[in-house]
Amino acid sequence: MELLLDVQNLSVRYRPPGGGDVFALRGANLQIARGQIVGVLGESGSGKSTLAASVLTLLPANGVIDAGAVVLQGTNLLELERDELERVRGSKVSLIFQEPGEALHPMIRVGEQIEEVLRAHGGESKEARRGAVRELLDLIFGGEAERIYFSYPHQLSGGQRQRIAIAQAIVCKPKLLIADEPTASLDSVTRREIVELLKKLQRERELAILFITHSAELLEGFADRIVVMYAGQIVEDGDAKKVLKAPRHPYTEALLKCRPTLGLGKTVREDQRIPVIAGEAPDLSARSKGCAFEPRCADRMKICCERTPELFEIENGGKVRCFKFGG
Amino acid sequence: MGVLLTAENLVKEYASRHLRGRGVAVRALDGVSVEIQAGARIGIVGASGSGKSTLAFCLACVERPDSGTIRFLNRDLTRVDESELREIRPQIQLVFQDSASAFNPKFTAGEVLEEPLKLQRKLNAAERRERGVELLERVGLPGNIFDRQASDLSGGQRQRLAIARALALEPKVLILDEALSALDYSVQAQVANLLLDLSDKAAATAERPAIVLISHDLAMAARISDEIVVMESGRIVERGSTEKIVGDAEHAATRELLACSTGMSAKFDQRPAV
Repeated sequence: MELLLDVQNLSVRYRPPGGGDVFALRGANLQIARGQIVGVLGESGSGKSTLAASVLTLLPANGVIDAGAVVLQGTNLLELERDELERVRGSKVSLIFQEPGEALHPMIRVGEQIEEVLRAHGGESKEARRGAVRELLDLIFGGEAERIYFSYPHQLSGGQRQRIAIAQAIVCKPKLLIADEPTASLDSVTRREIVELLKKLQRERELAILFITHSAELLEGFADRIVVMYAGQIVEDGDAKKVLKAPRHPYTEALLKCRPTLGLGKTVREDQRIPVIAGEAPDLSARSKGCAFEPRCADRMKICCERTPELFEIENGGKVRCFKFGG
Repeated sequence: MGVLLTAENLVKEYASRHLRGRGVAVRALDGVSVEIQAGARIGIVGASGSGKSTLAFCLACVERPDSGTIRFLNRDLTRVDESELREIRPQIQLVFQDSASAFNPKFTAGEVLEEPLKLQRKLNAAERRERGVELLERVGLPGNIFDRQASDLSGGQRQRLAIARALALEPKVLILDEALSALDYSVQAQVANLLLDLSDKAAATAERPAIVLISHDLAMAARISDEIVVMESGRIVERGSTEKIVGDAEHAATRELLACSTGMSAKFDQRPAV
């Protein structure tokens, strides 16, 4: 498999005005192959959105990259000049967010807004641009493409707006799409339609996707690989089916159990309660010397509060940051 | 168990405005009837635009339906005037999805909880504080949160605070409109367990509120409720016990929601292109 993106040892810190630095990302390593879908699974504060934003160096003003490299096909994006970076954004790597409505101009027809992206990246004639947009809308909306092209954002549903944002993101045929919780504001039916669309685009355009989410069930049958994040670190990395079926890290295991599944016995009241992860979410401003999950972990050992575990390789090609698997 | 709240044949239309041309009416509720027993746990599920939130607003007297009746304690809520509504509203409380915008950001958690008690003018300052601390305990929040700014709390803590505020006036019905949807899964599980505790069948019917969970998430609704109502395009398309809805769904909309809750492997290649 050809390597597309290689994030090496990336550390990011936020410096709030009042002091007290927040270590949002602590030495993340992530590889994405061409046409691969990698799901990043994590909760609020796990660093998953910081990871997404730092790939395109779109961190907020108080975000500082302390260390690391983001290598896209041999080029470290963190070393590029502003104008070079702008050529990469949109044409090689692009990004979609949770709120598609906010990414669109309310008074311009959506078809023209997709065309605008092509124009900004230069080159083709007006006819060629229009043709490319029509072709893309046909792929995404089928028979409705014509009507959608001339619609304004407010005339479209949330799901349709997100598909327009996806069209904008891929119209320049990037190799990598970063999707930061693109379905979080949508209902479960629309959510699945968006995920199916992304899968289709991956197949037909050889698009690699970095899909950031807190919903494990969205990744089932969609992601090729899953990376689980906790407290700014990658704690598990492996084949999607294996991570979902047989999670190895105690955090992944606990997180997957929090989600109610259908068909459980409801007659016994004790059974009805959902298993929870004990304890509080981690404090990112402190740097403990032990494992970040240790205070909440059911399997903790003496070594866990003495040293920080590294990502240990396990037999099936996966990696787990837990002393149960090495050290 | 007696019937507490009955809605019959509710119709509600919203005018949808266009930039040019005439407005088009959208029928958000199209003849909806539901019955809520005292102390019951009921889930109302559907996709976006199915009318489930409009139903919640009508039941909570936030919106008035265009036609139909809502009976609560022998009164028709669609016909009572504002002063009567003020008496009724404390008994039917609503909790929303976005807890960040549910409070005055300058209030402390304690002030949030005391506000409804102040409006009722029944307790003095010391009693209000005591009741506030009691409420925090009931939703599993530590007492030291009382003097913290509501805006400094985490998402899960804020949503617990919203539930505590809704409980302040001892409502008979607690309606949660997607109140779990914005939370992380581990936090969702904690809040869901709180709802199960509040509606614990071991307590007397009079002491626990009926829980109405509005959600697009059928797996979560099934975990919390004893019966489920499925909505689509402003109508109820299926209803029944949770076992029946989960185990033997008849309507396509229900099966679609079930499929979304059970993961989607293997379904990609079977479904037609989107």
